[in-house]
Amino acid sequence: MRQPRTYTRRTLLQQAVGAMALGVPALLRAAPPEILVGAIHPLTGPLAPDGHSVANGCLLAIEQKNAAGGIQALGGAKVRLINADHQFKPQVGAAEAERLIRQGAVALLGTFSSAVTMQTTQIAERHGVPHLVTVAVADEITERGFRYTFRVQPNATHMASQGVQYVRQLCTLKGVDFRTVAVLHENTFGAALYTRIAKFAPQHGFDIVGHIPYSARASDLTTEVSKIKAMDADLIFDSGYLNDGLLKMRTYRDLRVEPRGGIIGIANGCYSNPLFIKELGRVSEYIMDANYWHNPVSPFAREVIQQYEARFQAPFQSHTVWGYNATLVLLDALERAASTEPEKLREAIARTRLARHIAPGGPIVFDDKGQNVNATVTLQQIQNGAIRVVLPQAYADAEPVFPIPGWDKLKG
Amino acid sequence: MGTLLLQAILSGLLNGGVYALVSVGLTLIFGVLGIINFAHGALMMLGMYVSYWLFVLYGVDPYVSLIASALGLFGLGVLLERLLITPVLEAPEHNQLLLTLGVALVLENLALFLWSPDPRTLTVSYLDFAPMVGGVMLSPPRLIAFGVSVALTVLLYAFLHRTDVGKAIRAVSQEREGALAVGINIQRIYALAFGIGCACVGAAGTLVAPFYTIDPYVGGIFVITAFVVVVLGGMGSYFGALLAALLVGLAESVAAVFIPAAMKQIVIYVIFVLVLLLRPQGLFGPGRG
Repeated sequence: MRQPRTYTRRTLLQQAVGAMALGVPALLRAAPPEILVGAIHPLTGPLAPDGHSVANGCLLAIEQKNAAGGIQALGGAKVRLINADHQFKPQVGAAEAERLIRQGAVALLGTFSSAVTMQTTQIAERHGVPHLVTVAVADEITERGFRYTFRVQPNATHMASQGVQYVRQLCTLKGVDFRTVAVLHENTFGAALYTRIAKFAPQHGFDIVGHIPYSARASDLTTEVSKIKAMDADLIFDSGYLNDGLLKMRTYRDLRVEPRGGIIGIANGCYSNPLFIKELGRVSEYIMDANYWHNPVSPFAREVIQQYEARFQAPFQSHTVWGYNATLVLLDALERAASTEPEKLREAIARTRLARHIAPGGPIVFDDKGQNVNATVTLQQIQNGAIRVVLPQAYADAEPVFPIPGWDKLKG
Repeated sequence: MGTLLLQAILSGLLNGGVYALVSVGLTLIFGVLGIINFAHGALMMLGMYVSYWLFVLYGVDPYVSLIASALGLFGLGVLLERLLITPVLEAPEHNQLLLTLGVALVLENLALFLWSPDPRTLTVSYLDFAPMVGGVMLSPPRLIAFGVSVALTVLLYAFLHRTDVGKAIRAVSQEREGALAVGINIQRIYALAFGIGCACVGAAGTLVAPFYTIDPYVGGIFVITAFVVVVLGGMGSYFGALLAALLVGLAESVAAVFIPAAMKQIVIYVIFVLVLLLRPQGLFGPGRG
């Protein structure tokens, strides 16, 4: 342990108790040391609820492991999660990563922000400590040749390539042939995503007739949405965040934007969010989004969701999946490594083949860049006010309604 | 292209009306107290939440709760002026800036703590249908926001020019010592002007609530533009602020037709920089009254 040795009243007390326990059989006395794991997420500020939902996913996996007897291969050692707050600031994230590693964390989890993750993975790499990415979508995170960075979650390329592929599958399934696509996307993360959509759309027979970048901080999106409408495409692909999504969808409605195929989100922060349904009611009905999600047909996933909601008295979020899954990978690797030594732990993580997890897709297996090759995006649709998975069929809990009905739905 | 441009012109003007109401509050406070109120955005956010909660909890129509948010923000403004602004009026400008910025941080974080960062929408059912006229969408809540904003701005203008109190406010903004000499209670005028400025932005908050997304940081979106408007219109000029607000709204919206929409705000800043270079006193007159 790299933990500095300081004498506080607590450690003195522990030693006193330890000394008194000398008469007890040796087996009981030699409790293995705790294994520290650091988690860095936005715990204050506007992203705090999301940050907590990811961090609590990590915590749940650890609590379950401890309750089941800890890490068997390390004599039943308990794992302790130390949470840190990056406040959505890359420099704060870097400092917290540094602090956690000095405190003795054997691995890091985080961070719900691509910009922050770029920094924290760099710190982890420098110290040679494994960093499992919980939520962060930028491809670049695993493209820098880092040995200690691993990501379970689908990246931007997965979102775009699989999303576009599902839309083509929908067309085939329903016997409709849509070709033209207009893309409305916000101009930071959405711009990076757009370049991937533009790359994969032609491979699935789509022709992008135009795209409109917009600022998520705009006070009005009427002109932007009017331009998209004027493109008269069969389908609209749409990516953005939550708040702008609420404004955008109402503007679509006001301007009667009704593409023949419908409006489909790609990695949209709004259209797979329960708040979208809560705030807009029927306006949100039938909207689709290709995004990450839990596996609705897995009994294990359903059990975890129940346990999460009972434990934290909060709704399970799609982000929680990745906190939980990344932590499962770490716990599994600790067992196989039978060591907290960073190099051995890294080796064990790199050789992961974890089939028992709560996301769709095959076993978690990392490529030599540290990206989970089986990361699977699903296509969700809002039906009767609930978010349902409609594709791939292996994970679907509802039939897709496609082409997506127009605004007449509001009268029904 | 025809209807697209027409739609852009209309929505630009409508948005400009809201900018106007936000800006006159800002320009009034600057004109009279000489303070740049960085808490303006947070106060607008409070106006939005006042109407949101009155609607959600008691079913009060936002156009009725307009009175509550304007009066509430007026009261809060007077209180803020008395307790926080008065003590720093003679302090260096950067202290005043830090103070109003601090007020903004406190209000935003309080909202975050009390109401969570979850975005909220306020849907007024009888306005929830936007008619299409000749291919151009007329959004009722936006039309109302525009109409009421412009009416309130004109009303404020009339108040400042026609009433004794209004004239006293203008007197203080133009010549403080002189106003003092003729027996105007300057402390009262300061509190009043700050309160009216806050009431304006509170009303603006209520007016955008039915069509915009409400969250603790929403104020900044409108107020950043309002700062530009105030400078464009000539710091402290009400009529200038109104015209500049419409101009900025229009420029922003029409620019989005011709250039990538994400860059539309660049147009505003280009105009802003040009005005600062060529006509530093603002587009409309020398300001100050």
